[in-house]
Amino acid sequence: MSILEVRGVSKRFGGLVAVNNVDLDIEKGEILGLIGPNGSGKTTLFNCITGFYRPESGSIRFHGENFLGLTPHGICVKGVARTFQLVKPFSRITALDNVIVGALCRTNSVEEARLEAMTILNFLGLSKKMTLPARDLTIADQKRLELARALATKPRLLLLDEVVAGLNPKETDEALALLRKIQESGVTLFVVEHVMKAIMTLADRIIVLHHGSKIAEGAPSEIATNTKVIEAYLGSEYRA
Amino acid sequence: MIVEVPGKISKLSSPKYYFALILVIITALLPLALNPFQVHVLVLVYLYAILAESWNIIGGYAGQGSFLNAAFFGITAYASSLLFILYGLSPWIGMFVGAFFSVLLALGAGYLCFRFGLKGHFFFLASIGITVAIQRVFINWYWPVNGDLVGGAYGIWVPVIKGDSFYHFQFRGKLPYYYIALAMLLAELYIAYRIQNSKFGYYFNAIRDDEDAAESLGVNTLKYKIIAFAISAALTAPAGTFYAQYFLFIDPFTVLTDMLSIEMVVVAVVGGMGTIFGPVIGAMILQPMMEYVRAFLGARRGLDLIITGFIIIVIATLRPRGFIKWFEDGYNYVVKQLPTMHLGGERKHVHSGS
Repeated sequence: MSILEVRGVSKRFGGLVAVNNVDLDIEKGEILGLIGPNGSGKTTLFNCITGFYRPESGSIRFHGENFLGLTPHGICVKGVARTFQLVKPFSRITALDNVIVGALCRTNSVEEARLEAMTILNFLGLSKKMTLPARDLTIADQKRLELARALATKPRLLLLDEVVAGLNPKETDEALALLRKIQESGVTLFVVEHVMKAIMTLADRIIVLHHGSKIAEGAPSEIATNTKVIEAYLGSEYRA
Repeated sequence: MIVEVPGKISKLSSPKYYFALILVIITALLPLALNPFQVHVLVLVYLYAILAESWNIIGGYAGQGSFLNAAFFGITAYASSLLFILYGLSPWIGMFVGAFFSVLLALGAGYLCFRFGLKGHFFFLASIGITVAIQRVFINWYWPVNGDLVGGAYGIWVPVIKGDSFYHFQFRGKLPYYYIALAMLLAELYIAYRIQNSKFGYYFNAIRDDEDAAESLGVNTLKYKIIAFAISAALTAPAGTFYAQYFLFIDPFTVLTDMLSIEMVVVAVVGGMGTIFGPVIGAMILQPMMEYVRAFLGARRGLDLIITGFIIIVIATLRPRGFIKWFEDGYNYVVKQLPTMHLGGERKHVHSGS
């Protein structure tokens, strides 16, 4: 069953077409990967879905409900959460307080939110660092914290923008294991990723963007051998 | 192992709480040992602490550098004074009317500024612009009283009544003002404490640190910024009425000036923005200093401001987060030396783990 339907979405910045007439469906419970060279419009597409940008044309429906024109906080309340490519921690408050802000999306009681936040920090292995101000965490932990905050809003669909970029191999493996755990808990994931190895092992299905247009869609093994994709990444002289 | 199970009253058995209570009692008894000038200085300390504490809600917690707070102060000073002169209404009631108009102004100005995404320097400029516009309106606004005109650039003298009257908010001596200011400040601190530990406090801090991230976590940033502004306005209002009743004279150049907003910001920043006691500490440091410099070197106008400016530079270099940390450390040190008292709590035997 498709929970998110994107139809013919386009977003322009002046003369640049950042996202061009993109269609996509996200199935319940899957991990959908989104890849593409730099500047191919991945983050712009994310911003359109989460309400940070308003696309010029097309439609975005979540469980049949129109998402166009909703504010980012409205979309979060409907059950779609996201993380940012460049981490945006609430740097002056503690890691725990960061996650409490997320949990307050579903409750008005700070005490309830605190319990929820501690459960999530425990789940993500951050409990030992929860009293530190967010700015004092390492980049890997700040990325985890972003994930924790987003999860605290109890999303049905979670959009992750490059969670493993900048992590070392060990941290990457931990992060991937974590994402699978999140998938098992019943959250659908839509993941932008630059690290090919990571996305190939993680995703059930992959969509490839190039110059804002969708050029391929399919299982990771199909994508790896797709000539259009290889051309987009390496140039036409590498065609097999 | 015997542990103390805290009951409602027995919270006070911890030095952290009873030492705070002792400080409040000392503050309450303090004026009995001071001369009137010293009491006057303390009244001003509390007044500025209230103003900075209110500014702290929008400027410190929510991170929106408002320069409009002087307008909330001035509007309330005018509202309570005018209602008293024109209709004989108690300034206490006028205070609430003033607070009502201040909140209305905060809602309107807040919506206009935040709806169109003004932040940082632009919000600062817009809020200063609105303050100046309101000041101009009051400079040119006269009210007829018994065939005479009051207000405008001349300002307003609050009519002096005979004797002390709580209803009219007028007293001969300074002591009643002292206790009213102290009570207002304590109420303000309590409200700030409640806000900090509520959903509002968390959302305000989130907005201050990163608006996009806050939005993505379901925080309606527009709504919560306006709420922070309205709370700040409502909390500033009582200080306006207090000022008018304490000095019995107001004019647009003293109660509606952007200088007043700057002072609120400076007090909060020196003490520690975004903390509950920071503004109080800022007021405790700056206000006596300015008053004494003014009293001793009165003829050389502006010297107090030069010295204040110098101290701000020193603070910006040494303590960018304000003096609050030193005071917190001092407080915690004293608390550690004090014994725990046994009051009303139950003692229970508990099996320890190992």
